[in-house]
Order: sequence, then structure tokens, then C-alpha cells
Amino acid sequence: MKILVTDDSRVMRQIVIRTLRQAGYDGHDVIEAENGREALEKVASDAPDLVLSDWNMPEMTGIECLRALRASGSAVPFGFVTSEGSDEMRAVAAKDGALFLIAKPFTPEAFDEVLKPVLG
Amino acid sequence: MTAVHAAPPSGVGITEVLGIATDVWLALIGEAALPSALPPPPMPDDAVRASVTIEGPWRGRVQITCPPLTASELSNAVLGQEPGTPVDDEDVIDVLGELANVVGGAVKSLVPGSNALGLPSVSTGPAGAAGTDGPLVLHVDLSWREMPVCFSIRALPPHTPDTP
Repeated sequence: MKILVTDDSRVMRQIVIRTLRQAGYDGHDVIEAENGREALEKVASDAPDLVLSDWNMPEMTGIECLRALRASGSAVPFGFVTSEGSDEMRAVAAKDGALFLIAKPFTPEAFDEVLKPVLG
Repeated sequence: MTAVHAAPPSGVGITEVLGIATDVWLALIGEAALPSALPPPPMPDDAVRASVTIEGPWRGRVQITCPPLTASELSNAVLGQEPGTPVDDEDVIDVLGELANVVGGAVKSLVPGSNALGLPSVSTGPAGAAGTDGPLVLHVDLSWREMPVCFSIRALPPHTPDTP
């Protein structure tokens, strides 16, 4: 499977990828995007099986990316990995079609819990 | 030295900030940062200051300040590199900005009301406007590998119709 990791922080993308490995998801192709707009383009060009995205990014935020994807008819599984995990944001994310929201700082166990139903 | 100054937003106190610092350090660095046993020396003029703003009914700035050597070693730790490995400025800015972002996000979750987190900002050099604007709400001095790291929260003035 192919996972698109989207975060404006290169370091955080690296940490997310490292955590995926620690959670046991090391056999998947991982591609990266620096913001929501780039993620939108890569969903179209690379057809990932899952998008993991930060929320707060320049150019296009994660929630704007998710809304644009759903408006375009894309049903790609989408989850947030973000520093903000309020009930309000979780509700907005769910309403707009996100499968989950993992709040930073996170653990491999938190990843496994939400990724198992998606990646098996 | 750890202290509360101006009234912090409801739900945000030293205990909560220490808890956030512990969680973030353990998750991203794999080691604890502990409250300083002794008052730390003043931050040097070339200290690295990483901050993020919280915008909403309460406005404030969450900041992490540390000497350049601490910033480099934090970057090595987050990147999984050996201590003492040279780190370029871009990575230091990225790591410190992300630490401020995660700490700020956790603080934001404690602040009542509907709030938004700004994008992280990292600067070096003497504390300028970005580092000292607004009254200090609280600060927590931590020690990581016997190096100082200061967490601080400042209140920012409320927006007026003329200041978007």
C-alpha cells in the first residue's frame, strides 16, 4: 500500500514515518507532501491508499485539502496527525470525512490503533 | 525558577505545562526534561526562541527558549542522531518550531473557548518583539541533559476591529 504523509515540517514527516515503522507498518511505500495543495496534487498523480496529514499548514491546510478531495469525488482514506486534538476539531474532521485524528505527541500504539482497520 | 506571573487562562498552570513538557519530551525525544533544581543562568543573547500563538477569546504566545547548543542537541535527539553531530540551521528551526507547535497545541487544548493555533516561528538573537510582547503569564525552567530549556506563556492584547 502507498501512504502519503503531509506536513510542512520535514522533521515531523520523518517522525511520522519513523512511528509508522515502529508501529509495524514498515512494508508500505511512503510518499511525502509539504502542504495540503501538494497533497491534493499527489493524491491525483500517485493514488495513495491512505493520507496522513497535519492540520495547520501554509498554502493549504489539512482540512481544506480534505474538503477539496471530497468535493472532487475522492474517497481516499484520510486521517489527521496534528498538534491540536480538541473535541471541536475532531468533530469537524469527522464531519468532513476524516477517519481519525491522532494528536501530537503520539505513540506507535496510537498509530496502530487507528491504522489497523485501514491497512490491516 | 518556575513561576506564575499575570493570571493564566483557566486550566493552564505550572502543573499542566510541566505535564505537557514531559509528554512532548518523552514522545519526540525519548527522554525526560525535569524542572530545574536551581535557578538557571540567564539565556544568552543568541538564544533560540521558538513560539506559536493561540488566537481566540484568549490570545497568547507559547514559547520555548534555549541556548544554541541545547537547540542543536535537541535537534540531534529528535532526528535520532548522535550527540555532537553538526546540525544545519534549517533543521534546528524545523525541530524547535515543531516542539513549539506541539507544546502550543497541547496548551491550546487547555484554554477554554474556540481557539486557533498559529504557525510556529523561530528566531535567534536577543529577545525582540516576538519574544517579549505581552505580559508574562508563566514560565517553567527545565533541565534536559543538564542544559536549560525555558517554557513561557505570554498574554497578547485582544484584537480590536482595527487590528485584524
